[in-house]
Amino acid sequence: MGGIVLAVIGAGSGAAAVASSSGNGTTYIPQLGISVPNDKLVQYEHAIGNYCYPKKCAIPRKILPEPKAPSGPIAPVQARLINNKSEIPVSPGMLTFTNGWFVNNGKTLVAIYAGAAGNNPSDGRLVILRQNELLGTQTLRIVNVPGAGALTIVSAPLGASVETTAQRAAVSFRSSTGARGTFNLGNGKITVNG
Amino acid sequence: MRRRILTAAILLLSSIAALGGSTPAQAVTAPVVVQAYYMTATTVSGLENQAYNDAHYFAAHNPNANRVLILDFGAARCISGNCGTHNTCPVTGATYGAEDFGSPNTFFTNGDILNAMESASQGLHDGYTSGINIIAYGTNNSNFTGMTYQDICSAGYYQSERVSSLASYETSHGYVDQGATAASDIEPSYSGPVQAQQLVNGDTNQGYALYWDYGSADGCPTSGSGGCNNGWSQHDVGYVSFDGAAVPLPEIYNISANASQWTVIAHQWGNGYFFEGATGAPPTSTAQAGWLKLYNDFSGTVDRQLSCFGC
Repeated sequence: MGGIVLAVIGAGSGAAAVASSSGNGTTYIPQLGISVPNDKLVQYEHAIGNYCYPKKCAIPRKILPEPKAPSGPIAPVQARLINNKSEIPVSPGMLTFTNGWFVNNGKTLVAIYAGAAGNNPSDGRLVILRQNELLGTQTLRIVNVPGAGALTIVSAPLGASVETTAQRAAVSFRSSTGARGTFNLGNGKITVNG
Repeated sequence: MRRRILTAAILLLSSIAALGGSTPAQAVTAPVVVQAYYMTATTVSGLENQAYNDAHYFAAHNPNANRVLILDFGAARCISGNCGTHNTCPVTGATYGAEDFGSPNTFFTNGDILNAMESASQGLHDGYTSGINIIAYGTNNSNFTGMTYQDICSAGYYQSERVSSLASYETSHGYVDQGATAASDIEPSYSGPVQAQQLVNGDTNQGYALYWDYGSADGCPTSGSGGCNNGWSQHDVGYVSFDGAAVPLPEIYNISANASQWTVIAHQWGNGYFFEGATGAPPTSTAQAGWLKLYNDFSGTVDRQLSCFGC
């Protein structure tokens, strides 16, 4: 391995930082605390461009005024079933998707994606996405029904009048092996019959 | 003299650390998990609101480190302008963007997405506590029906270009604690390999942005050589995660299997392949276990990014 080459660079705070280029084709970026391949170095520099790496500070002489936070409405979405042609956020590795259900009251969102476990088609699976639009939080919960096969949602609250109440309602499903059950969004419990 | 020896020792240890080495007694712990977000809006104002609020939360929980805020805007799309007929990359005169995860799935142009990312930049600023927050314009390779290879390449190209615009926005407002990058949830089950590679090619050709692959290695073997899902090879997964401007932040959802799959891919690719970290599955403990498994399995570098959708 070749020697380490040190270069002094400017940091955003005005303090000096040191980048070191080793002989193995990588450069250490102190702002990120990692060594990166030299053939990707330009893109890494851009990723932290506002930290004034590697040589010149990108802060303009005149800084634009601070914009206001967006204040437009978040459109509600009436409770609806979604089919397996829909783009869903759940990876095929996590879920083999059959159908789902979706509702958003403009403040909180709940979606249920039903199917089978991505790594084991004999296990039924529900993936529940919850989002608080105002707080910026999003959670995924995985509920398995071992041995049930793929699940399909067969009954759930629908329409515009239930956009809030439906988020605590029960959603019914059946499985490819003939089992039926419900998932209660209010208490998070699942019930499977035969 | 004793002080000079101590100083020399510190410098030596610093140099070892800089080269990615570690002292034998160090116990490795998983990084703090940060949130990644699926975008679910059905209107432009909703998209901007979600981006702002997600970013505000993210910034308030930054563990005083450089961390990537992945905003996954959905499947990369050609939205208008004779999509499906183009044979050059980048295409001019067409509009690109993404199809998000709302219901109904909603198409947002790159202009809409840039506005949302600028809202995210503002949210990061308003919620800032510590560290460096890097906004990632995320997409995926799902269902490229109606797009030529050049359309897909152009989607990657203009994704990088919008990242450049975002960086200019951050700079012009003096947000010195922010950065910008591109990313994609590239999964073998979503599309053929050559199609997916066009996203990376487009981004790399444009040249501005890193391309973080937070996707999967579906169906790839956990040891030795073999095919993956949908006609992909291990080399194809290596390509979309490390060729050109791509860097890997792999999904480690099924912990043991996924960590092994990616370790094999990394070793087969060779040539300096390293991991930026991992994308874990909820809950937080599972995500951290995934990062640790990858770290323990792989003999090379695993950096300390750890993102999680839904943790």
